[in-house]
Amino acid sequence: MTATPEIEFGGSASAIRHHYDVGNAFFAAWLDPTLTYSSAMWDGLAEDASLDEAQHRKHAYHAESIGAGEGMRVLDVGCGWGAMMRVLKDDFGVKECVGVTLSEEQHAHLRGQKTPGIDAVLTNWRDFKPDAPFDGIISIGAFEHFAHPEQTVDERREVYREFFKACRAWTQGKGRVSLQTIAYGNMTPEEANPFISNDIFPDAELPTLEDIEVAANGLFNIEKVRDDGLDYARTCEIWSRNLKRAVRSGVVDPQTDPADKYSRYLRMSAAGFRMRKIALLRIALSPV
Amino acid sequence: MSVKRIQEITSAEIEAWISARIAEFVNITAEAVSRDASFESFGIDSGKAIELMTGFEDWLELPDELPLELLFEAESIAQASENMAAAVRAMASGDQQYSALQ
Repeated sequence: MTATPEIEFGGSASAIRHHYDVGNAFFAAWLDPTLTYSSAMWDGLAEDASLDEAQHRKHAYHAESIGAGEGMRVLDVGCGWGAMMRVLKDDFGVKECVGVTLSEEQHAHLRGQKTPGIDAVLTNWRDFKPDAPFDGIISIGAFEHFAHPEQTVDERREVYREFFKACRAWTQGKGRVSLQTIAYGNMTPEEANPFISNDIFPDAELPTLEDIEVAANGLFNIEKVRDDGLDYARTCEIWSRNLKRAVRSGVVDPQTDPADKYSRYLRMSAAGFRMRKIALLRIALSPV
Repeated sequence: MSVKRIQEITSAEIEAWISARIAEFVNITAEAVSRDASFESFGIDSGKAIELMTGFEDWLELPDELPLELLFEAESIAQASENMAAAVRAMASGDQQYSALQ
């Protein structure tokens, strides 16, 4: 440990790479074709809608949440393999999308595609210094990595507040933010069910809705909050079945791929969401 | 296991199977596993619960996975067995909750 900085941030590059850089082919075997690795959204769709449809629905929801439209410039914090940015560009006419990721594989994948109007930057959000302001910001499944378990509640909230301050700066105080994150539900860190324990998120620390409310206070208005935990349970269950089938058909080799680890993680997560131990928050924020 | 066999599985058969597995986990006889006891009382954590459920699915050769909360939310081994029997029958009869996940 070096001298204690004023604010400690979670989501180290090594932790992110440990989780996400296990080979794109492995993820392709069980995610949808756009490689979207976050909860889909079934609200507004037919009951039997597919995972592909529900992932697109989720992306459209976030695009609408920030008022995405023609000629805009949008930032995606934690852009994954770029599915959100492609929806912004193709379906909403967004002119420029910039995705921030800590994953080298995701970054290389996006740069390799050379899609006009879509760029990716390999950096932590706190080091991100854009050369032009954005009209809106979307962040899906990144907030979970911002803090770490050793932090106190106040320290955690300070990290989140720094993020919201950065969002204001990146949009010159004029842009909307659409946030999707897993959060503690009826389980607190102190009273974790022994079944769930730390299996789901051993290294990251989840926020509570209150953490986000406190952190955004005075910076962003929380316009709308949804808890779509059941969407994530369904998403995890579909991924888990896809993964099992990929193992059975030989597409995934359990000897070389972390199939068992992910299978276990996906099943635990699904149970956690169904039991409301953890929540999936979708939050629409407008600048104060 | 055939679909017909799965449809006929009883909660008593499931309870006997679960009791035998718990007995192995904690190294006691199956008879010493009380059906009214909770999984927690035997120290069944998340890892053991997944092991138990996976073993159960393999035993019945189920075509799909069962939700883990069938174990987590049960207050006793007897209750879990009843819920699991119902879920297995629903799966065998092509209940929409399971077919929707295909």
